[in-house]
Amino acid sequence: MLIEWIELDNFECYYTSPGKPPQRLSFDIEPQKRSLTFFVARNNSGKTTIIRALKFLFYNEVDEMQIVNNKALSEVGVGGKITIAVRARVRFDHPSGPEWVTLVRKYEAKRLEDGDEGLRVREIDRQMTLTKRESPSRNRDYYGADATSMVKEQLPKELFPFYFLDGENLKNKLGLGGDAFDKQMLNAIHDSLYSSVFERAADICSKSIQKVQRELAGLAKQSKAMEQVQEDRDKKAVELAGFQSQMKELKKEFDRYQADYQHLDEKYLGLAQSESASAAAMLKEARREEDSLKEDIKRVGLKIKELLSDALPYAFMERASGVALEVIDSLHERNIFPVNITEDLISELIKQKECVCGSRLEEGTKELARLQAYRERALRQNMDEDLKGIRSILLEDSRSSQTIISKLSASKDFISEELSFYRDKMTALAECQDRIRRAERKIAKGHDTAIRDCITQRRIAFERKEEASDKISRFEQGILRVSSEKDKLDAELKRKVPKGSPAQKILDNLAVLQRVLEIIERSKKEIQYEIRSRLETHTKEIYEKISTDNSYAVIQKNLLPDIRNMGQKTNQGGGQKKVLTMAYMVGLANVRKEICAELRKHIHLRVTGEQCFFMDSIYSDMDIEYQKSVTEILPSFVTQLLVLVAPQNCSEAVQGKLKGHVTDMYRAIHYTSKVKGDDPQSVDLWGKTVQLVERIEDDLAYSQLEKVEVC
Amino acid sequence: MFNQLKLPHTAEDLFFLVKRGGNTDESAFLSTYAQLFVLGATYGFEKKKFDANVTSTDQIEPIKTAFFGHSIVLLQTICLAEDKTHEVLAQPDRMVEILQGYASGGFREIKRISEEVPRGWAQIERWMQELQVEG
Repeated sequence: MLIEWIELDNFECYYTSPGKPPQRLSFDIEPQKRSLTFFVARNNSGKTTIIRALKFLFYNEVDEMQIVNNKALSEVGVGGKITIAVRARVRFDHPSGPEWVTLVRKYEAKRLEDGDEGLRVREIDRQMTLTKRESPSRNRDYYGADATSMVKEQLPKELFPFYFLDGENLKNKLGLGGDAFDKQMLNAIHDSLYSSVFERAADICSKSIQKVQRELAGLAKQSKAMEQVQEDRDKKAVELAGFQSQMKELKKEFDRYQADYQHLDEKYLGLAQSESASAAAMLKEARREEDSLKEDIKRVGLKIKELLSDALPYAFMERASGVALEVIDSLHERNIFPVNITEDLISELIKQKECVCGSRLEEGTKELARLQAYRERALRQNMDEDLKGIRSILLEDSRSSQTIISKLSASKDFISEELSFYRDKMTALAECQDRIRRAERKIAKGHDTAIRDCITQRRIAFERKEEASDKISRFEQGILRVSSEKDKLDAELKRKVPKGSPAQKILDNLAVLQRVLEIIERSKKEIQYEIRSRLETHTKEIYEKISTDNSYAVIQKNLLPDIRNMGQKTNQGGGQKKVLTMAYMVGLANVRKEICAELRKHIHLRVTGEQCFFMDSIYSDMDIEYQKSVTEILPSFVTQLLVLVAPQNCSEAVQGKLKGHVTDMYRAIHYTSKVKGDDPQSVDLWGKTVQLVERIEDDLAYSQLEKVEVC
Repeated sequence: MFNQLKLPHTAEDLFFLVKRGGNTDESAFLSTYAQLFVLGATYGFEKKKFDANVTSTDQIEPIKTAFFGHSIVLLQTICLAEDKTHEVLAQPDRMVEILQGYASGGFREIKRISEEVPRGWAQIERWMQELQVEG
């Protein structure tokens, strides 16, 4: 960073006359050129005020009781207000081109009562405007939408570091018995040596990351839906993964149930079919047997019934036949042969008699013989014709009777046999039917059990299968739904963060920054070592160019830890420590420049390598040789240098070395009614007298800047 | 011999013994109502069960003589044995009276023994016992 100009408006001793522009200190900075501005002023006339103004502007370091220009404040009445402002325009030389930033910090002071106690000061404004010659839009890429707010938020120390050396304080501190360096300076060097540059780099990364994250958050805020979408999408992804996992398990379960189901199907149905077939065969056989038996029984039954119907009447004819025969016998004895006692009747009677009682067959035979006797007797009574007929009839009847008797006898036996057979068959039928019933029960039981088991198992398997199938179906639907929603969300995300969009670029930057930060964190010690090493190298190089006493080898051992005590131990005065300090500062700037260049390879680093150096009162209490060498050597290491010098230190030797290098020269004219001290009121610079004090009537002194044309 | 014989009304309870008119009773062993009549008459005469003033059933038509076939001799025998004279065979009305009287008495007796056992083959066997006893 180089400073193009600085304006001071009623800041401390610098008074801005009403209606006049603020005090401006311009620097002639041009690309590829070095700038050396020589500023001369009496003590307490505004040299160090320049440095404090920059601290105020960049770092907001402010002493509210000193910041206000008393003359300006006195010009407003009680309750009146004045504005205190410092402005500066700085330039950054980036590889992509120069960039300018104009910074303004304003405070407002209100005069409450006369005197300092009544002063109230408050910051009223702080502005930074950023311009870039080539492409302002590229700045927006980096800073985001609100460059001004980003610049405001960015630490000025990071964006606008400058190096200053307050040689007066250094001298005073030295003069106080070796309390060495200005504490702030010492701390700055210490911090820089050990971590400052590195920390700054890391800090820049962190801040850049935070910035990018803020921008992301801004984007997310702008599109709340996007966050929701992202969240939903993640949830869906988790849900989907869960679904898929469960689906896998369910499919396994389903396959298992399916296999079980099929196995049961085959096992139980086969078993049932086998049992059923076996039982059916048994049943069929039994029924065939039953049918056969029933047929036999029916046949025998019919036969029995037929025989019974024939035999029963005869069985009950014993008494009737006996009586009838006696009647007939009586008639015959009386030789009465009635016509209606037919042959049929007689033969039937005999048949009946023999039928119902086989024992009477013999009697029948006797009867036959008796009838033959009747025949003979009839012959004798010339009844041949009748007898012939009777005889033949009787003979026939006798034969018929014998046949019938034998038939009846046989029938009776047959009936008995048939009955026995019938009973056997009935028993067999009962057994058969019992077997059938058993078979049927067995069939029913076995078949039912098998079928029932089969059905139960099948139902269970089927229910499980169906349940698994339902679940699978639901999960499939769920997966489809979630997958579809996830796809939609992915598409929405892509739409919201398209490739090459600012948001995507920010995301990319974030990734890079995080990577760089990671590298930095990982190699922290290495970087620290590197910084220290480089700092030592640079410091040594600069110091050895300025100093010819080879003391660096001595102080190197105690480079920082003992630098505080160096003056006490060695009592090496004459500006040696100032030189060393300057060497450190320049070395530090160089190291920083190198680090910036390296970091810029990875990140869009806003800090720039070129730095301005403000050296205040560096020549005081410095040996002339050091004055000469510092003046000669320092500008060659520094791009912009502001040398603030008191008139008593503007020695010819210094002027001699400065000649040809100074690009601008300024003086601070101190307007006062009283000239204090022995400090000269003017100074001769390169043969020209430059006045530094102007007398005024007013008691309130003030200063104003003025460019001096000498070189 | 006689015109027609009518079944007494006592025979009504024994129609189940006749396999006629769609009767499928297992205990039926007679083929015709004529056989039923003969069975009743012979059983009644054997058991000396005679009913005077027999009323006939209206459910069955009078049985023509031809239906009795060879059993007519049995009926003649009963009549001859009842009146102990061959003249009865020339008196159709008397024969009808005798036969229907014994048939009615026989049916009552048969009904009694039929009720001793349930229908079906038990009754057939019961008749078989009768046959054996008598035989």
